[in-house]
Amino acid sequence: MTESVLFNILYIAYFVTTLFYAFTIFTTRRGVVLAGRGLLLVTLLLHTAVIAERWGMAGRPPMSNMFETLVFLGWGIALVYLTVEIKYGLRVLGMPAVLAALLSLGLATLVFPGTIEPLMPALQNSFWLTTHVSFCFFGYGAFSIGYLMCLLLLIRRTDGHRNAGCYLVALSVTALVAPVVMIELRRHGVMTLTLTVPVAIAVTAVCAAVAGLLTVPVALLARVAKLDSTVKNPDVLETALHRTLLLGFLFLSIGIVTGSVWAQEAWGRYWGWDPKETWSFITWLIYGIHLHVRFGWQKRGVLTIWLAILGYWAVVFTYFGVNFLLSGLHSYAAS
Amino acid sequence: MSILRTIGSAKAAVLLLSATAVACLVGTLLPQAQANHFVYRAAWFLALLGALCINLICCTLGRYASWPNRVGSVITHLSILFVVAGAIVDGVWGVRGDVQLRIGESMAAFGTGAQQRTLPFSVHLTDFTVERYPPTAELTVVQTGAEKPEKPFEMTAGSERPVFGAGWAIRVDDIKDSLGESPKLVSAPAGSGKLGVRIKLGGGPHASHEEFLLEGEREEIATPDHLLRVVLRVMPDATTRDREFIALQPGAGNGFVEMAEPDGSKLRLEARPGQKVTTQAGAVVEVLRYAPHFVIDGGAVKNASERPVNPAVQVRVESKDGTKKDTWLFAHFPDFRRMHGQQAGPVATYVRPADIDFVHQLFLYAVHDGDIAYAVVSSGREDVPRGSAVSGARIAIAVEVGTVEIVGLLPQATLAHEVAETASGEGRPGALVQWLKNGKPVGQPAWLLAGGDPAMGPDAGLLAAVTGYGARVKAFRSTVQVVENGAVVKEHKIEVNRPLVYGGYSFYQSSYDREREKWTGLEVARSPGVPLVYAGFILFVAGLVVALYVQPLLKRGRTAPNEEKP
Repeated sequence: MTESVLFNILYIAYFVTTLFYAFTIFTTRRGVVLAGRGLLLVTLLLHTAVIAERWGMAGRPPMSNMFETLVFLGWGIALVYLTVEIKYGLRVLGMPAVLAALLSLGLATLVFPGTIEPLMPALQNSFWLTTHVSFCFFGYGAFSIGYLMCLLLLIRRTDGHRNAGCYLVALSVTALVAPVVMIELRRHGVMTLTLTVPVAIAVTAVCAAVAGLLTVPVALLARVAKLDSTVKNPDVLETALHRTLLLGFLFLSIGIVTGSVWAQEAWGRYWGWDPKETWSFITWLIYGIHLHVRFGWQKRGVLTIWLAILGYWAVVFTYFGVNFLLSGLHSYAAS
Repeated sequence: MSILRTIGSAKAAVLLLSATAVACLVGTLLPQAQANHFVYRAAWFLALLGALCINLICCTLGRYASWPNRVGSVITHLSILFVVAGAIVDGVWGVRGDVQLRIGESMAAFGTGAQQRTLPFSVHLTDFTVERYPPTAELTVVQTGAEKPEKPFEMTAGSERPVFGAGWAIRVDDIKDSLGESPKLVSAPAGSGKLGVRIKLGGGPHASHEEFLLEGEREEIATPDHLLRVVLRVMPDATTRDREFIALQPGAGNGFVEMAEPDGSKLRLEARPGQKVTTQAGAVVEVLRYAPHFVIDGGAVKNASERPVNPAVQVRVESKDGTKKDTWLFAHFPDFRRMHGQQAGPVATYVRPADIDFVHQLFLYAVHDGDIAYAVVSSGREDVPRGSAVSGARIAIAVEVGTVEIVGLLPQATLAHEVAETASGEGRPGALVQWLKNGKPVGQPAWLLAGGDPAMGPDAGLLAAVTGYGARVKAFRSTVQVVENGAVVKEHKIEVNRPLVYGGYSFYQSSYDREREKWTGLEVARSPGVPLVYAGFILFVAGLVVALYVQPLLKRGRTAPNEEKP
């Protein structure tokens, strides 16, 4: 796939779309908005074609390892964002969302081997492989957009007197970036097992510093540029966040349920508390808590935002952390 | 009503959900077996899940008045009770076990860990195959100092390829799909090696095969079924050997009874009947009986087999004043006595190292410049057959184990790693390569295994390595027949995603014989809770869809005409 012409065109398409959204971030002119949307739609169709191409080449759903699922995640992110933009506006999210999809593709090609590998026996069930992985990654796509909305909400809380919001954003970005950096270092043999704890702390500190340095000017810029002017009703962002998270929750639930039925088919047990299962359950619980706080407890604001951010960390750990740090039945995914 | 509200409040739900999430997180940090024991199957965790269910019931019941407006939410919440009910049904009535079958064998019972379960029918294995993907292997040649390695090339037997100019070439003499490195005993130059013994196990349940023992490297081997252990002890001289050898008595290897003396020292006696010792306080401790497989059958103590399943010794303590007290001590349950309140008298424990759980043990006592003295210590046997072994001697162990033949004695031996084709397709691909200079062989041909060490070229900093994968498994197929009342009622090819379902039981492909591909491992399960769990799954998703998308749609439909009115 990495050698495919389509794949390289897709890269360029995402790059162009990201730039377009970046330069028109505060625009409300209808023509520009529609142009961006069209550009994203074309990119998304191209992305679909890339996945279809690999599906054809491999002769099976391309959803079995890190490379393939990351490509799929990027697709999910772009698709969910396009839906959110059409439904709620919120164009200000466009640049980070398309960039996230691009990063997902980039991570796939730069870090993981793109060779087509044969499937182990347990995965040879196209129906369950397709439904289980699709729903999980649509869910992850929705949670990714939700996470970006959380960051936006935190930046909005920043005013002239305190930059607390910026630091919180920096912190939450760090929590995502630091593990990826650590996995990379470990893959290149820089981090040995005995060094993990002190090096992990050092890496996290460096990532936090960089994220802090980057986030503060972004937040200040956003304030200067009157970020809020693009979001007419401040409640729209919060409503959109919760609708997106509900969508993610529904997809994650279906993903867990289909995984469970599949496990019953293949191994004779629908639940075995293996690390991947347990972490998807933890993720589900956190978003479940978020729903109960929001709709049962009737709370809004910082608490719900932080629960959503916590939920996203759990998503990332379920996806990456479990594959690389904990062992279990899903260990085949770590390649 | 208010109690219902408190127990079923959103705050309580949030608290319980958070506690569950933290508990699960802790569980994933523990090794799986420990996590199952201390978290997921522990009473406190189940109680936590129970509390969540109670919270859920109270919450739903407490707000029954609003049910019509919250159909989706109510369905979603109640669906969780279905899943939990299914899990409970499986926990109570579910059965799970595994069985290993060779082609031609039948099974009508399976082990569930603690006991045997009998099936109302039998399953006969007619065929078992492992289908594999073709292996991939490429040969890469690197020269230190060269800018980049030669492009990897596909190997074909007999092909020759020039590398990096200057007359160097590499020739592939042979290619094999599945190779393994196995240690082998070889003669070493005088003075540099250790004492080695080649033996051959035969006549038992395992196919006859050769093994070896090597002083300091591999001093014992055991059969995987724990029937036999062979131990090599190399003694400095004949006198020491004879002294140690005499000490081998029946019951050697049963472990020891240990008692703490008042001064803190420890009293030890071998755990075999007739052993006696007097304590500092003047009491006499005597071992009465030894039972490797202690069971209580009809109120009487019985020894169910000679396998050390539940090793126990009966000890009599006779105090100075003549009072006698008999106690059973258990190797696997050291706290048994304390649990049962028998704290009077000196506390004795039965210490049994885990590595001596074998039914038969063959001890080979060797000295460097002499023959081997052997002794067979069997659990449950009063005598210890002994003798002296030379090359070619055949030592009979027991009917169920067969014999051990001393194939050869090597006074000076060392380990060599031999590359050989594996009995299964589980090995790595490899090539036999020969370096050439101007068409003439340089050095000896050597086997290169995928993922193994590269082969140094004879000169010029050349390195050759094979990269690739072995033949990975594509599918396991166990062809089985279900036999009921003497007739074949069903035939099925079990694969990983295609279990056999018959008579309420399901048979899943779960493992296989990696070494020889001779047997298949099937997981047998009866999960009566599955329909409930699946019903819960469907209701959960349906409820969520109704709550998120159907109800808002209906509401909009209902409110829309109202909005038009004013």
